[in-house]
Amino acid sequence: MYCDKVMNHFANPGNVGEIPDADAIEIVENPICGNVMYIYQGQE
Amino acid sequence: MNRIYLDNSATTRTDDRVIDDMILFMREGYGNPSSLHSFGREANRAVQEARQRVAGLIGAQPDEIIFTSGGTESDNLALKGYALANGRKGGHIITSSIEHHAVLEPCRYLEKIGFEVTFLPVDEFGMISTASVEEAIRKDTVLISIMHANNEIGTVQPIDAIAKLANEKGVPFHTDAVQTVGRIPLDVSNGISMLSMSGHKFHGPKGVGALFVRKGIRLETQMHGGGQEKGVRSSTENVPAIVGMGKAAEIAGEEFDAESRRQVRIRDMIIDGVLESVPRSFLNGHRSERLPNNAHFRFDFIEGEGIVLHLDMRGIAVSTGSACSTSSLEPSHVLLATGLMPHQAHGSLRISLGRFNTEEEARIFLDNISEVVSILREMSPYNENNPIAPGGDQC
Ligand SMILES: Cc1ncc(COP(=O)(O)O)c(C=O)c1O
Repeated sequence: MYCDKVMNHFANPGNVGEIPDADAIEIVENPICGNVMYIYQGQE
Repeated sequence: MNRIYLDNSATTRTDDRVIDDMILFMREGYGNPSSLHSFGREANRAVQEARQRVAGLIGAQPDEIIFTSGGTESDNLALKGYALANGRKGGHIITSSIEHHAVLEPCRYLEKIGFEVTFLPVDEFGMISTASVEEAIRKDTVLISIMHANNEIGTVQPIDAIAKLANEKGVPFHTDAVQTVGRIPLDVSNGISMLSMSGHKFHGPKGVGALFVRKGIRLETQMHGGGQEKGVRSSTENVPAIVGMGKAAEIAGEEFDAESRRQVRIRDMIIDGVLESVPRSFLNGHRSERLPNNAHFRFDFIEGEGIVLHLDMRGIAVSTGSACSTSSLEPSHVLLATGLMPHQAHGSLRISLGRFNTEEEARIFLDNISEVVSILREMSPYNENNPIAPGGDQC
């Protein structure tokens, strides 16, 4: 279950955080099984 | 890295004194206890001595102890063995909703073949009320099975009162004491009819357990064969493991008082330390009616799984709840039964102590837990301003 790739992302999380003035936010949320993602999109 | 093991409810490190005795019975005392020659007689004597030691720990007679392959087999033998041997009298069984799967699954199997099972609820602290047991008893109730202490949240049930009630009503009472043998004083003379134990939970070896069966109680064998263990559980005795479990029982009996006081002190240090130093942390289970070695927390906004992995990278081994459920995404049936929401159950963490843990290790754990919780909360989309809105009810 915890392959090297997964553990590497876990130990060194990248692209994590919030874009305060994002153009779009997509929320994928199911706390029942612990899957939650907020995806921010912004354009320079 | 010096690793710290705080997952003693899953299993414990085998005590060196136990290992020494076991090796002797692999290297030299390897006879079959059923054999007539000196090798056999020596092995047989060792098994009987282990039987006395295990019986002594719970106030039973040696011939009331059946050795098995572990807690799971003991529970299966108690439930299915009793129901199948005595089911003619009626078909109703009472148990709780927070039992280990080793009790729940045999109950579900018995339901499939025609028995009726009542799964009693628990309160928010994981406590079963004796009154609810009394209300559930019917004319055709053949067996009551309530665990002594829960393996996840550590709540200790009022089994003395339940045993007394069962006796008054003439219903046999089985208790899964896998988590309490060697940790809490146990005396089957209070009216317990059957009691399950497992060697590896109190610094003995894995793959060996025992079932106490009060004299006069009849069980249908679940393992047909050569007739060992009074015909109830055939198969050549696992002599080294049985010897090891006997030694572990002897040590637990001798060191019991001081050891449980020591563990309570470390446990409370951990409970108080976490609740004080980590914001939005809560204790699951009961504050006082609790295993001396169990601390179980819930942290808002993050997952227990993430905490376990982060602590593991720092050399500290803890558990998200029950070791059996780590590989599934289903929230723990025990935590849900106490009324927690699925996302709260996922935010839970179990710390369980053993003989080899020290206060120093507890301090190291406390230093790390606040840091790990902060790291995870920084990444979590949830916080005070954006709490979890409980979503659907399916994964
Ligand atoms: C309460 C309880 N019952 C039964 C078992 C099963 O014991 P074993 O692993 O020896 O089969 C366990 C162990 O996880 C337990 O905690």
